[in-house]
Amino acid sequence: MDENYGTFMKLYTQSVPILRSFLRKLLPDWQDVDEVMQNTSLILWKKFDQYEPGTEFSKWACVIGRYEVLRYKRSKARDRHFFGDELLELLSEEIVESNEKFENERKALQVCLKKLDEKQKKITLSAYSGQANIKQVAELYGRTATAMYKALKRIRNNLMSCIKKETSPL
Amino acid sequence: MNQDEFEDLLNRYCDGTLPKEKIQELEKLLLDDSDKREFYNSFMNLDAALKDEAEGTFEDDITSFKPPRRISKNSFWIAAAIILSVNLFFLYQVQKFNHSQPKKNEPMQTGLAYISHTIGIPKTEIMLTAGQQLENEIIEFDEGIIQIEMFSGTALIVHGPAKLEMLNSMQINLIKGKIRCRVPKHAQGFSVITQDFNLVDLGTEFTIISDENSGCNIFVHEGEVLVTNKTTEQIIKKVNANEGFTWENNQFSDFVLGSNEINFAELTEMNILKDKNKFNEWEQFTSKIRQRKDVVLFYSFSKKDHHSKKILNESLNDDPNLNGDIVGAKWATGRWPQKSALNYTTTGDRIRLNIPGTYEAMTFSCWVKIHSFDRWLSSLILTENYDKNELHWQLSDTGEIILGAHSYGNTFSKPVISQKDLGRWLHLTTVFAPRKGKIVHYLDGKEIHRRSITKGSKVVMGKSDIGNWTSTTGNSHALRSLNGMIDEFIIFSSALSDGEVEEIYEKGRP
Repeated sequence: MDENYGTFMKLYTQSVPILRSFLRKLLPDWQDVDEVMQNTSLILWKKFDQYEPGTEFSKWACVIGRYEVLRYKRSKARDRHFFGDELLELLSEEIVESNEKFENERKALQVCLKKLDEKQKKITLSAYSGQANIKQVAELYGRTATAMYKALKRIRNNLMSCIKKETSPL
Repeated sequence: MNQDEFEDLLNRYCDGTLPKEKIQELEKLLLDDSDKREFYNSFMNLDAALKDEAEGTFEDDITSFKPPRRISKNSFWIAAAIILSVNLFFLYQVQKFNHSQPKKNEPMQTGLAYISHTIGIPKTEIMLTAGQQLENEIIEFDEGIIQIEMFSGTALIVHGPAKLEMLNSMQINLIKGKIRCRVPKHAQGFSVITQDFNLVDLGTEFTIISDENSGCNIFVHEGEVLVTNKTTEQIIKKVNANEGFTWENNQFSDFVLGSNEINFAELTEMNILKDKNKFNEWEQFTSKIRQRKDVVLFYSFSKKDHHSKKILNESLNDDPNLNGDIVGAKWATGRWPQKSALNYTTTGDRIRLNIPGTYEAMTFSCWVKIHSFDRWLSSLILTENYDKNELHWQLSDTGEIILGAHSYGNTFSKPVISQKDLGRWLHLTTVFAPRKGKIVHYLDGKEIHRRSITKGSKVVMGKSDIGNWTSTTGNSHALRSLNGMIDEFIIFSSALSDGEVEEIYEKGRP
């Protein structure tokens, strides 16, 4: 049990960014993602003996994640804003095949983040950190929430363009 | 719904401010349009990456982990996240970008000779090809004939089995084998070292046959040769025209060379015949290639095109867009005297063409001779700008073959074209086969790099340049002109197998 844990942790931690990103694409907000991430992680450990060594761990993790998304969706009240099953299935299939793209874009992001100025970096990281919400961040900068959303949208747009340029062929 | 409106929906979705009806609208958009799903995929990647970035700085410090027998709500996940923040942020394997960067070191001249012709050299001897530069190195081969031109002007005909060491452009060490040397006036003093003594040529021609064990035979055809002691440099003997000697068991005896020796004139004749045969073999082979249904483009750079500013496509596809316009590049001799090539020398030189159609796979194959790498990137074929589904094929100045494709970034081979390979004909092939899950680079018919890929994607080329690049978007490395010659260019709409690539090389080697 214990030797397996080392192997498991290594494979698991390597897959966390992909798994988390995968869940984010299927679920409406980060609280949902965190909760499904919990459930999925538990099951990955419980079912680790079913994982075939040499195969892509992240793909296997995403398959299990997908089931957990569906289970989670059924357990929540009807008026939550989930995507329908048809779209969830379509997205799952397509996302799981785009690992190269994921890696390239992540790498490019590091380069692109450096191009943001200090204020932009602060706005972005504050808006995305665990407990904060936009209203609090807005207060921090003496702005309205609307203005913050606008700023964030511009920043995301800049980053998307930069990433696209960084990952384009020579 | 335009792109701006779509991105607005996505931003609000990520912010959590998108009302239910709008989410349903977004859902419908994603269901109907795969391009929007692809954008959504990248957009949400960004969202997730920013979240990871923001949360990656934890103050808690956990130094050991216990197997999770009982998972409290957050501990397992936090434990994993802490490993992430303590170690590296991204732990997955990403190919390190330690490929060539746009800085150059001055290249040094380390060559001292080059191979001008070969006859009967088996194809396994890949390091012995015409045009190959030779440095301070040992050459060894079992059969065939090699003609070497030293940079001093001395010409050598070397018969296998032979082993010799190139010391400098005026001196070689013959360990075994038969060599005929022709030493022009300006290379007087050229010397051959053997086991027993030095031979110094005072102008013109002699043959030396050296056996590793027994001794050597020397015959002077023209001029005179001095035999000197290896250590003291004292003159032991002087040999004149039509004289020869054998050195065996520590004594000299007379030696006369047989009449069926190959001299330089005869070797030239043999080379002409060889060129003719190889050219015919190539012509026969390529006439079959032209008939293949999966050949989109075939430029043979044939002699008959000489005075034309257009290069005609010879594949079955008769779309006139595939005929290229020649800008600047001049016609010159190709792999054999019977064949032509285009010589690219100025920075504007190019073939401009338009490749219509959408393809599931693509293979590029060309015969090229590089004169020098003038800048970081040299174009083989580059589409105008770099739009989705287009491919870029080019070389770096450290001799890497590069394939650029939107979904996969740039696939580099190792540096395979070195100083020694400049000035000789190279066969380059790259196979782009997303459905088969691979991108493969080949040099001279041999695989040199393979990359596994997932996800299918299509190929659309459109307006392109061979040997240059047209960029209208102000890219910082826009000058990509090739300095060299192109002698054949084929584009297949399929993925060639290893065997097919090797065959194209074999049937086309000069």
